[in-house]
Amino acid sequence: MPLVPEAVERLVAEFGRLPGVGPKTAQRLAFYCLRAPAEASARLGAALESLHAAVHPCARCFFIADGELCAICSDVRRDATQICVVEEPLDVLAVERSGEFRGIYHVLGGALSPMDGIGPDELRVVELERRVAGGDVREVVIATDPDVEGEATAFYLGERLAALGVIVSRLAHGLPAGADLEYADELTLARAFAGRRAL
Amino acid sequence: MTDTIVSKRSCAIGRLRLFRFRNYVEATVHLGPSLNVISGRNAQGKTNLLEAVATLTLTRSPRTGTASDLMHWGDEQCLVEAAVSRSGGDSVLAVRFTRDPGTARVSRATSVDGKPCPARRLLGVCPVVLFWPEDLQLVKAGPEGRRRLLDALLTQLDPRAAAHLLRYRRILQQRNALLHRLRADGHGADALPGFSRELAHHGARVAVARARLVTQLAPLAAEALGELSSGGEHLSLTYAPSHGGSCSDDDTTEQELSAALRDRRPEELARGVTVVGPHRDDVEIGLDGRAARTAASQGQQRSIVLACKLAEMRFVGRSTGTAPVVMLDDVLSELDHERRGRLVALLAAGAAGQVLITTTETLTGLDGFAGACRYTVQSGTVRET
Repeated sequence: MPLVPEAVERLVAEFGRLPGVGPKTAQRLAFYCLRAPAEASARLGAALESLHAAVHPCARCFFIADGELCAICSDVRRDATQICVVEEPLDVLAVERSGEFRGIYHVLGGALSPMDGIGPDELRVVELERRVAGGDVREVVIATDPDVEGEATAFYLGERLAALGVIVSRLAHGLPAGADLEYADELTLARAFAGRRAL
Repeated sequence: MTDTIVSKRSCAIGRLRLFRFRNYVEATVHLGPSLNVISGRNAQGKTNLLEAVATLTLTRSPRTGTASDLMHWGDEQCLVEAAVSRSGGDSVLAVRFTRDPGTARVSRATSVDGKPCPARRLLGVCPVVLFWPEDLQLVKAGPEGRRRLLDALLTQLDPRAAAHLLRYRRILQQRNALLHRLRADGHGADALPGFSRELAHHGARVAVARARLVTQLAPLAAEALGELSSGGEHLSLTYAPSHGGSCSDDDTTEQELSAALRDRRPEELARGVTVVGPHRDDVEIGLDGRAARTAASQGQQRSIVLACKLAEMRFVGRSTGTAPVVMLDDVLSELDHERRGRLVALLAAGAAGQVLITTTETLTGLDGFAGACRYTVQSGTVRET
């Protein structure tokens, strides 16, 4: 006979599927739920259940929304002439935290990765082109990751958008603020040098 | 072990611990600071012991690209840990590979003195030079071995080039996947320029770093050949990039490589792979102005190989100020009496710091080393003898 009841085992298995959760943490979480009042588990279950019913991609930028448009696209104070292109919805939150950008976004849904079978058709590129061609967009800021896939995607988008007569810019590569120079990895430092500017 | 007096700046592995590594369930070995001879019959774990040291100091195995191969059968993790004594102080290096049972993905964690740190912090702490039996074919066999020799040096000595190399490998995988798909159904052609541009950028920097390394190694190898053979032949090493340029500076080389990729695009599309770039480059080995691969005798080729390995050791010694840990996996028995004697004499005279040798037979002519330690390996256990 198994040591723990099947219901617990199932919950452990589900927690274990979450990113960043190992088998031990999954067990701890499941036993926590068991110890906590039943209402807590009910709330967790209800929150999970309503997630997909209530949330879907924004019709314009593909960030997450509970109406047709997301909170950013429906905010009239945002500058609709600037579009920041990111790979994932979480990247929107990262850019938002900086408080530097007052425009709107476009979430690609990933980056070009031939190894994983992800080509331009698997990303929301046509949708981006349509937005740029059809509106009063002046500038597109490409903020894909600085890894191999993100760089190739940025170059690809740059080529395609250039034909539409907008300014296409790429986030600068540089040193993380608040970090010591000696801890920067070689590539970051080399790029920071290549992208240096006059004082 | 750590307070042994060594005549020059050196670096030596003292305590070495293997946990669930290859055929070792758990083993701790105390290595001597000078010569260590590890003997045993075939398939007992001698090579695995050297591989463990290499995996730790290079943060990846030089023998396999699949980290799960390193784990003891049926286990989900493995660990190599070593106490390294250096002139600047002692430290404990460790590398641990863990397989996620769900995704089967293997993650690597590295630490120095128990503190987690990025893998690159381990590189170069204890410089190593590896000498495997297949290295004996360095002159005659295909270019992979010659590129591997250069890349092993760059990885340890040139962090910037090592970073470009790592990135280059990733781009190459992506670009080849794309070309493969393009050949199959012509899909995604407009994604190619982005990957080509990245390939040229990082590839150029790898090629330039390698070419520079070859110019530094060449005189050392020529000198070493003079010490190994009395023939008086002149040995030359020249980096031969597949795109045909001079590899003198990063930007020019990047342009040349880009141009070559453009020119050879039809060939790439037809074959479905990247046909130009550092992964296709070579080192031309010449003897008195002729290609050593065809012009040199069997014996001369052996001497050239030894000269190149000695050059590698001396180059590491010179650039880090530390004589490297040299590992010879069953190589000495492949050499004739005379070459073996000369190599051992040069190793003992300071080309190497600590030396680890594996062998299946009783080796003679190792008297040049002071205080040799001997071990026997039998089905994954190590015994000092």
